[in-house]
Amino acid sequence: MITRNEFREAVIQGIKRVKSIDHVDLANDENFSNAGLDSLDAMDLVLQVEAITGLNFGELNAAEANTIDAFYRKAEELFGNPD
Amino acid sequence: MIGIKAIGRFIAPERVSNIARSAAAGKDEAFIRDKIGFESVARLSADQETSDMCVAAFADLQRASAIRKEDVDCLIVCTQNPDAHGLPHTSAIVHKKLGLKHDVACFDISLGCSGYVYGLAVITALMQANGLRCGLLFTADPYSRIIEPRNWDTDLLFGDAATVTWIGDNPVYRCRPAMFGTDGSLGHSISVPRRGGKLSMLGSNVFKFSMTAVPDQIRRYLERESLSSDDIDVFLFHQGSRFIVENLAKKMGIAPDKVPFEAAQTGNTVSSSLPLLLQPRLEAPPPRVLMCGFGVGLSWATMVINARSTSGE
Repeated sequence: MITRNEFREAVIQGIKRVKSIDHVDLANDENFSNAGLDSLDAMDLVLQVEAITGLNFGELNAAEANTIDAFYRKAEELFGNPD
Repeated sequence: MIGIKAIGRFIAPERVSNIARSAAAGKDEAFIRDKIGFESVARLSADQETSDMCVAAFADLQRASAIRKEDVDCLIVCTQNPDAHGLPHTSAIVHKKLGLKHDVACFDISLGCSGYVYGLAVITALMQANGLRCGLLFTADPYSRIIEPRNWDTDLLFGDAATVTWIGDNPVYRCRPAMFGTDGSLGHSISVPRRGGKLSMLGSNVFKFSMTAVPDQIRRYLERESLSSDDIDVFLFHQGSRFIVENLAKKMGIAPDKVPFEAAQTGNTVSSSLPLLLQPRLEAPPPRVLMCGFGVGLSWATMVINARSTSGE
């Protein structure tokens, strides 16, 4: 399992890939829609984060991981807390 | 050598506009057009059965080809929404409605979006093994029968259509061996959870499957067949949504103009989506076409078809 900061970086990197943009400004508790992601982009984001981190979120419903914090909580539930 | 000679089609004439109901669905128009991709979905009238769709597709085949009813010796219907309760099998009902002779092999195949590739593999193998000369492969799955109105996870997606593919000698396309895949552990991702119930879909599961298992199979298929992406003239992917088709092309590094999305006015027509894509291409057939169907099961299947001029390879 990776740290919260590493996970945040992975999510930011994932958003850049999904939206093909160079810069993302998003707080940990902000909804991904504030970064321009719609519900289908959010599904793609899960796959991008899986590719970046090597974690497999299985049947994660992307709608339940709609902020960096919420996404990380799902990661903790599945893979444990490293902190 | 037998193969695909011609295709007939029936698309339910009624259209429900997804644009008109985008607000009710909580989606903006751009999302409908550019992401889901289905501006409208075809809907079968309440008094029509699956077998009626097949009969209408056959009438279209008769208009477009020299098919003769008296020659038919094999008839397969791919559907998961058969007439009544599937007893008798819909293929037998189609056999009756078309007035075919008794010497005809008839049965149904229960598959969703992978059904066309499976169906081609089954019917060509069956015909070759048993000396049959004139086969009909129907795809007909009126999902409107199992959609809960205003369940926007499904109601915006699926459309009603049927096709019939004529299999016989002197084909336009010859089928290469297919590759198949199944993950029954994820079957609940697209399912009708109880008898008489409505369709339920877990979009995240379906998208993940479409972006992982599907491209993996296509890569392995091309490798097995000693082909590269550059050898394929057109990739016909199941029209699950514009988002899935475009992302699949992107993930596989295929030029977008080789991966058509042509279901904007019909919706996801399940096992009919691939033959609907193939039918207009039969007049000037691209030499080598890769088809991949994927969905319910979860099930996926890939096949390359070669136009007659390239069949000697």
